[in-house]
Amino acid sequence: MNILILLVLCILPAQLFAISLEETRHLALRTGFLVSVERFEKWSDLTRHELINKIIEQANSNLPLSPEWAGYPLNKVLQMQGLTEREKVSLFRYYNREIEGGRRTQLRAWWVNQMIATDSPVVERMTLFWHGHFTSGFPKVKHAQLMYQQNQLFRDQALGNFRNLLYGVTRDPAMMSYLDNNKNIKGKPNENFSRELLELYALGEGNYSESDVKEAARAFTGWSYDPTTGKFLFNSNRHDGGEKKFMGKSGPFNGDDIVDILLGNPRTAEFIVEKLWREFVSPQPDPEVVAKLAIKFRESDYEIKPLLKNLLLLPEFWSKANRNSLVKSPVELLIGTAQLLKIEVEDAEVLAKESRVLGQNLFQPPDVKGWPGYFAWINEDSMIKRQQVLLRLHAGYNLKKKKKEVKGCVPLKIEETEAGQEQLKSPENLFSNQDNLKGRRLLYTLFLGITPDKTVDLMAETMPNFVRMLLAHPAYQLK
Amino acid sequence: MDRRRFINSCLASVVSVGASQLYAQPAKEKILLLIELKGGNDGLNTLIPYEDDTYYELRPTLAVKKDKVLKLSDGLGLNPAMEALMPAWQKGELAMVLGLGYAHPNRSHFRSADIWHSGSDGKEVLVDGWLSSYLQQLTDAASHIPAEAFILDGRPFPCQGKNNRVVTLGRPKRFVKQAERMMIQDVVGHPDNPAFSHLLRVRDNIRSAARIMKQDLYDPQNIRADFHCGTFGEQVTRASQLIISGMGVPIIKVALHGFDTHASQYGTQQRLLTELATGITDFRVRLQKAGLWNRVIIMTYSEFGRRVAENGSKGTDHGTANVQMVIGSSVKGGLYGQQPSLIDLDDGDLKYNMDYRRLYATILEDWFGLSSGKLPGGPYKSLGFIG
Repeated sequence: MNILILLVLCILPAQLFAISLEETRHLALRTGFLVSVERFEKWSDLTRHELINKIIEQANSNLPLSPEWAGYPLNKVLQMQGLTEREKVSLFRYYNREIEGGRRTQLRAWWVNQMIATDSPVVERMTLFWHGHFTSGFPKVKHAQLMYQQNQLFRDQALGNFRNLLYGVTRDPAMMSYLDNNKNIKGKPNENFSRELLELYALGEGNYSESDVKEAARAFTGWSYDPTTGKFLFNSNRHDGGEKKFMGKSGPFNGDDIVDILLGNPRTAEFIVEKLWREFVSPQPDPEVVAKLAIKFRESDYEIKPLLKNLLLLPEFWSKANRNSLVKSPVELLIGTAQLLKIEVEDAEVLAKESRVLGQNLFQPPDVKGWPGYFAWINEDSMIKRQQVLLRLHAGYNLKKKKKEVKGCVPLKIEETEAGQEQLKSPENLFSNQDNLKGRRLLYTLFLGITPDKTVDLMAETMPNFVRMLLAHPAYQLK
Repeated sequence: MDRRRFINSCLASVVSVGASQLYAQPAKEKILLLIELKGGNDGLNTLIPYEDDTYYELRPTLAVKKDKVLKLSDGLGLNPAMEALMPAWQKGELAMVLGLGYAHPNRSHFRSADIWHSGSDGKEVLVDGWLSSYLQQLTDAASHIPAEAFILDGRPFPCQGKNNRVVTLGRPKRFVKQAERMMIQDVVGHPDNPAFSHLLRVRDNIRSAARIMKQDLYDPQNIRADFHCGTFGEQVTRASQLIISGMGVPIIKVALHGFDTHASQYGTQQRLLTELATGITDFRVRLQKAGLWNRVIIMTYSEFGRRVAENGSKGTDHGTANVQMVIGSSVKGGLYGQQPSLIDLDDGDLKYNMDYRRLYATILEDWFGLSSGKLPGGPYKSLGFIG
């Protein structure tokens, strides 16, 4: 009898602390794009702590193959000899539209593919977060090579170090182009970058003075990039090395000094923690908890991994009231759904374009504040479009050709049925393994994060209609 | 004229014969088209003080040459890019309101835009849009109306409030068609989950708006575009379409982006002002043809003006006081207010001399017939440019 009790006591704790389906879904959606039946099964024996560690520690930013033109020089020498003025203009326009325009599309498709194929979705989510935080974008940034470079900086430091990230961003050519710092020169300072650095990237509005903006602008004079190689360049004769007064300190500051002073200000850590809280935890950061986390963040000299782990371990993160309290961004919605429905995306351009239609055009944030997210993702227009694209993805609609087609965007994978026959994997057969009460209940919770209440008759419809119902449910928009 | 509109106009004339008080009542038939100039339009190069030497000294490359300026009066004239608006000026339908701003100028795009959107004095942080407390009065809750406001640029801020029914849309016809096709299932609400409640509220807005719009929508041609919002021209065309459909939605908002001209300002601003002027003119022509121009007033706004002196990149940085335009057949054209001094500056920026809420108040009181008392710090004295 005692042995029995002992045995039971040994088994229980593991079960008690092992992560539930709802919790798995919650964590997976918050830190990635998807939760699949298979992944849940793989994770179901882990505790919350183990799972968080697995997600963060095993994250690697495996660099995908870069686009062919990534290393090309920025200035293309167009063959203009022997052309008339009109022909030259025409050629120039052609170049911009076809070549530069074409590269932008390719870059977007490249990132979508990366997000789908990655083993570490948390890295891509963080890259996306930094892209929305340290805003830059087309068309102000003319060359796709520069946005690619910036994206690699964000991926490199996604779970790295915020100090290094700031040093990198202040030297980043795409950023300098976007906020005119390449035109910020001694005697004629341009405030655009220094203002946004203080207001949007580091301190937040109200924590600095107009004079600070002006002095910081002087510190960044001469910081530019080579117009051919697209690499950082320091123009010492354009740099104002004079004495500056910034946030109560004096000295012949340059850009790095400004960054150091900003990082010495406790407000910076709080600002970043708040933003990450809104991205991963809930819409309302708790000021006291934020302050504590910010202190740890500063003390670690701005290491991002421990901060993210701390955020994910918060009781606020796991509280039941906090489930489905955030809205999926277009990218999360589209990529997560494509993966959930096992769609082989042949043409990532199409998904990138759908994301634009829903309000998130990669590499082109609407303005310097990035994408506000949360309620802003859902208005009358976008809600209709969201539902429409989800149902189309499911139905095998060819998003590129805008018509219904079995081939195209939706895969035809051949799979073997139990009877050993080959069967086309089409929407009709999706989730056929789950076509029973238990399986459908699982799908319901997996898709929506809520348990079906008694009035819902799970078996009433065919499986394809059941899945359509899940995709069209308002809760599917939430995470 | 199609049968439905013919019948409606017969009914209207029958009613008006019996009740000549109709137009004295607040709102119902009156419309405000809000145009947001996003980024901070440089007012000094929009309405130009061409007789002021300081202007030319401080803007060696950016100043508009005196002979190019479209002269209006009092040493002030328009940027030549605004040529398309000259007929409106000559007809007395264009009012320029000078020196608009607020007491604690904020040079952050977002904070200043929030201020203009909420009617704040610059110090208070307010959440609701300046129109939100008026929308119900304007639409008279009982009437058969698809929305309190239509937002065509995706930014509903001036109308935003807890109980407001504001609809954001792109192409109207497509909106209706797609709304019909939506799968709407009965869902149990979660009152403790704001995100979920927001979703359900949006869904309800879609259903109620689309149902009414379906009957009334006037759609003469398919306008090609996709969201996010369409270009300014497309938004304005859609606005005219919605007004001609006679749905009675009193507020429509559109926006033109790109005014944050820190570098190489001249060409960019010219292009934008041209787009603005031609868009407004096209809109005016359409409404005149439909006999509805007298029902609409247009008001521009922008989060701030820009610095007086140009910077080293042939552009200007964020500034303060600005000039805005009001256009309509009921407008008493002219210049209102005082051009701020270019010498007596506030650390390089123009000093405002007109609280921007007087602009709002004039429209509320003299156009919609409502007291401006609900504006933060209200009521305000009308500027008198409507009559």
